[in-house]
Amino acid sequence: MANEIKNVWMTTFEAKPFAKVGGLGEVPPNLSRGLVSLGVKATIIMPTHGTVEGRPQLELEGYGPVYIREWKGVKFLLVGGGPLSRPGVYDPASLKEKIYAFSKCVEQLLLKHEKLGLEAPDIVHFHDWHSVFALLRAKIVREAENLPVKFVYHIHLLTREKISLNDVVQAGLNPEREHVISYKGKKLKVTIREAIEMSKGLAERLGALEADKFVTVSRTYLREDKDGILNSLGWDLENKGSYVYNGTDWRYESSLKEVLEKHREKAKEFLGKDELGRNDLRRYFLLKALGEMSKGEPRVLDEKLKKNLEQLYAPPYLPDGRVESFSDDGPLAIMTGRIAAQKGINILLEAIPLVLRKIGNAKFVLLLLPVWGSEEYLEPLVETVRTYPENVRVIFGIAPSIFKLAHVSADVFVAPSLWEPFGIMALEGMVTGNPIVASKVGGLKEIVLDVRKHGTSGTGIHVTPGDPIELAQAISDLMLVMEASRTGSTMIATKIEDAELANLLFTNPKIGNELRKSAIKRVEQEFTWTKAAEMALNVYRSICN
Amino acid sequence: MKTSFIFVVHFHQPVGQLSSVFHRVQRNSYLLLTKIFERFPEMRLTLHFSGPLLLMWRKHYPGYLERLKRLISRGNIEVLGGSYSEAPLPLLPFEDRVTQLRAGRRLVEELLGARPKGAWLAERIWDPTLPAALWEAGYQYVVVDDEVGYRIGLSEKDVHRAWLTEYSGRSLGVFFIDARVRYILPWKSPEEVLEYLKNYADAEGSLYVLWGSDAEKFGEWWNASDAEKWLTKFFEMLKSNHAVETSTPQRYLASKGYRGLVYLPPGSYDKMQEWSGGYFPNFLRNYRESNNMHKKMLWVRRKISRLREDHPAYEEYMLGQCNDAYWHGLFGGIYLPFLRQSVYEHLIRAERMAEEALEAENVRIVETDFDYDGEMELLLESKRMNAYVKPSDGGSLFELDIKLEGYEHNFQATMSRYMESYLENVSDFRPDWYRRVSFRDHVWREGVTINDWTGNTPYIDTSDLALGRNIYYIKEDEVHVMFTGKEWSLNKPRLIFVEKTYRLETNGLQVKYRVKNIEKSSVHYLFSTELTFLPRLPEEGVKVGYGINGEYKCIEDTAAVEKANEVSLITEGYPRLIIKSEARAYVWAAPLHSLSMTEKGPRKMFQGLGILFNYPLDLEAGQEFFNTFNVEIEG
Repeated sequence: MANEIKNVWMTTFEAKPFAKVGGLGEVPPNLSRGLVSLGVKATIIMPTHGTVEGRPQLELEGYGPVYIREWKGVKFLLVGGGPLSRPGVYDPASLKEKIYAFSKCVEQLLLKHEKLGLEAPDIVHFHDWHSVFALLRAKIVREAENLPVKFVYHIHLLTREKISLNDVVQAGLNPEREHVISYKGKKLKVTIREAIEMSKGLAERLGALEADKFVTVSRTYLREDKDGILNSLGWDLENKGSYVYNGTDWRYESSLKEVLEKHREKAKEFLGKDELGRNDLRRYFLLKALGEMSKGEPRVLDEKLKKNLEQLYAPPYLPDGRVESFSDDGPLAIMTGRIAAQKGINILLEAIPLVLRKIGNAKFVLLLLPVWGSEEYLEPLVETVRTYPENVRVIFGIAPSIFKLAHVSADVFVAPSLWEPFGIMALEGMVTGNPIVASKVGGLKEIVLDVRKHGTSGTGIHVTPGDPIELAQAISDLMLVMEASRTGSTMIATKIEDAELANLLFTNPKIGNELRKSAIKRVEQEFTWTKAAEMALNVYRSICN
Repeated sequence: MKTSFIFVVHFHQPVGQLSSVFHRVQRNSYLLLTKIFERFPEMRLTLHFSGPLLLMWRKHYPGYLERLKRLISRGNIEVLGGSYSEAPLPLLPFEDRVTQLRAGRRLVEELLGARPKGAWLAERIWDPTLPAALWEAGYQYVVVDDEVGYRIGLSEKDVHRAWLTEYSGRSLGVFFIDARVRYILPWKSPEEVLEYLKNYADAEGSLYVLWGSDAEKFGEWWNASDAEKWLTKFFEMLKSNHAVETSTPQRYLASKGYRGLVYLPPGSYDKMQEWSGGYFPNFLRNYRESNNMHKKMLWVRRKISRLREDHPAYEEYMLGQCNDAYWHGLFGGIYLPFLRQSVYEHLIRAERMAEEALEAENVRIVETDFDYDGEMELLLESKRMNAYVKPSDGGSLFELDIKLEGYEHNFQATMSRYMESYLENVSDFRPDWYRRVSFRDHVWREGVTINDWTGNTPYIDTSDLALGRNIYYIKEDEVHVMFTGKEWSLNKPRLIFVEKTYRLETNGLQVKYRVKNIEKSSVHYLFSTELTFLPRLPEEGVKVGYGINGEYKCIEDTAAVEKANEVSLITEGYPRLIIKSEARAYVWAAPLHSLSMTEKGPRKMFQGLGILFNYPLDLEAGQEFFNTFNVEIEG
């Protein structure tokens, strides 16, 4: 078959298990694993960032060492040497140098793959703007060598990074070099200079112009969001754009198993019972485990941020950032993610008091990662915890001992993002049995099925991004639905403001459990990495045809 | 040239009136007036006897009632009806208005043998929606103040004629009280009054002058012999004067009829307009205590509405609607503790009867906007007690009802001190900055004194706990309220978290405290829990007092006792209310007084016993202080 895809390369600046900074680090390796599970060979090419040492398996003459590693069936080509070996994945001091060096390595790998004993790729899949120069070089090599390879460019989150002719020169490319791009269904011969002009100096638009096809992470982010791909980069790219969802490895049963392995004995002892239901886990989490995080948790990687936080910590925080547990049980909402404006932290902080006015025993546990740029949010977050010491905890940093426990104990997951190309955290929330209150934006719009429209097969409630009042009402209502359904209390049910939700609860008193099941089912059926790989494969096939 | 003089005399004593006052007014005023009326059978008079007064007469002076009956049967007197308990009709639900008016009519018919056509409105509070209820209850006309007519542009002559008004297709006649004659009769000489009346004489005799006011003006407000002389002379002069003919509303209507149709805005007499801010229901906004009583009434109504209308609970409920305690002008009103006590006594009794009849479950917690202010309140109810908590007002307790038969009482029927116009020039008066109820918390500045606390010294409370908007939740039979307050004695505010857990026990109320230092350094606070109670006020001459750890104090005593943990409220013949704090405290107790005007000048009036449990707290970072209060009714 002409469209048989056997071999896919991916280029990226980050990927677990070698170097992972944010959500992007999850995608290339997991998507590759998905491809592997579909019988496609997958290779990831990335800088070492100093994470790999020792004798390299290959040497790219004049460029640097190449370390070959394998992880869960995926081959990794970790290229080092010069800037590529420097730690700090996105360290601004060496980022551009890394990008240029990386582009040359990718070019060399493509050119000399046979010599190096690597199988020729059918597809090279370039991730994020750091790969744009690699794509440009690959284009030129492909044309020069007439290689039968197709290129896909993947935009995870628009950064609107600017590139100039100077960058082109710095990267060692000739601005006057002609090559072919496909644009509006036609092949155009353009120089690199012209391509940069056509891209309006935007790295991501250039990537989309140069690639045979570009993808992003959701249909909404591609076509609908105000700040989404086509609305930002231009609708002239419409026929080249497609989307490939992200996925998650998380499964309900295995997550629960993992949690129970870690906590069963302590929970049994604390609760004085052997059978542990979800309510029991919640009680154990809120009243016990939350206050007994493992030593060294929560881990904040950045020393300066850690110091900042230590200045702020006061009860119910311990001086090291651990927290006291709550003294009473209550409906639990959780949120996870980086601390950034994009995540809607401020909106949630405004919404929390409104929720508490109605549900005084509501609990919010926010498991957040402090990153550069999040400084301004630290104090308001700590102050909220101190103002509501029986209702709110924000855990700053990585806390593996309670992360999944929080998920399998919760009643509601909150994703108040102002924008969110995809939203893997929502998948994790759902697959652990939580209906989601999510901004109707980006991937969240597609992941979450609004209960008011989909009934018991719904998986959450959509809210307008940036509206704390609507967010508060949705969180309260969903908490109340879950709590009323759990306890059978009609008094709780009378507080539900949304008439449709109240009516759903009335006609289906067990709706809480059904929503949990629907959420799990939707992720396990629709948002696995294998599903994502199938989508990617369809994109590859569409350009190979 | 002729005019009609309609003399409408209104007799009223509130439900819960002190019996000494009632008997005195009976002697000084009512007997005097009856005697004079009997002497002038040719005088046409219009009399209104309020329901509560008729009931008091039935109980204490049945012979007097017979005498009145005879007087009325002579034919020169028109008797007005009204509501059963002299209720402020615009404050009542529509059904209650009709019930009150019908019951009022029945009472007059039963005790006086008269069949009233007109109605007297309590405090002459007119509301344009009233015609429907009055019509339903069979009344044809009412008496309102000319002020109300002037406000829609009626002329001076117009307000001396009878008019029809209409609401919802029900019409009602209206007579206007002449404000000027009300100000001169009986305060100017009879000659001057008569001269004034003559101003309205015309060839057809189409105008009337209506005096409508309190009977107590004769004999009670000024001395009885002067009043007797004045009125006798006035009647003598009227008898011999041909330009002024005494009449009654019925008689006037029979000859002159109605002038036409008018629509009248809400209103009452000039002073009432001033006191209420132009609209009587404003009193509910101006005094939280008044609103509390009114909303208690509505709450009880929900319970009794499931009973048949002839259930005795309705009688109690109606007595709880007597207007006097719901407002304040110059004299007591809401500031009279025994009137508040009485309103609650009747409402709580009606509530208990309803609960018994409906076999309500023992302990209930209801979350509702009890006082209609947009914030939720939490009502804990058992067979023996009610405890109402207001999370948005410092998580305080604002009603504590004892429902035991014969002992019905709200210990939180206290009264806060408000700024009144007559107090503006009283130099050391500071109105209360919070409602004087219970389980309100403070952090006092160092050196605070009892007078600072009772007298509202500014900035003496360095925290915002007292008025904090608490978050709350109900858990099984408990109500939790919590708030993180700020304490401002240093440059930077310090956070302090207070959680209170309310629970009704068999014999009382338990309130658990958890106070936590939310700072990363240690703190020292004088943390105080304030309680204010209205002890059950007995009939006069019976002792009321309190005890602190066994030491008896008179209710007017101030006390400060170290390491104390128990305060009891003691009223002879009433079970003790015992307040115990698990943690010993420096306890202060002091009577809280308002400054009220009376007919005889300004007077200090007892509004409740304030009790302050002071706990000096030294708390390390994150450290908590726990305490439990038990408020129990003995026996």
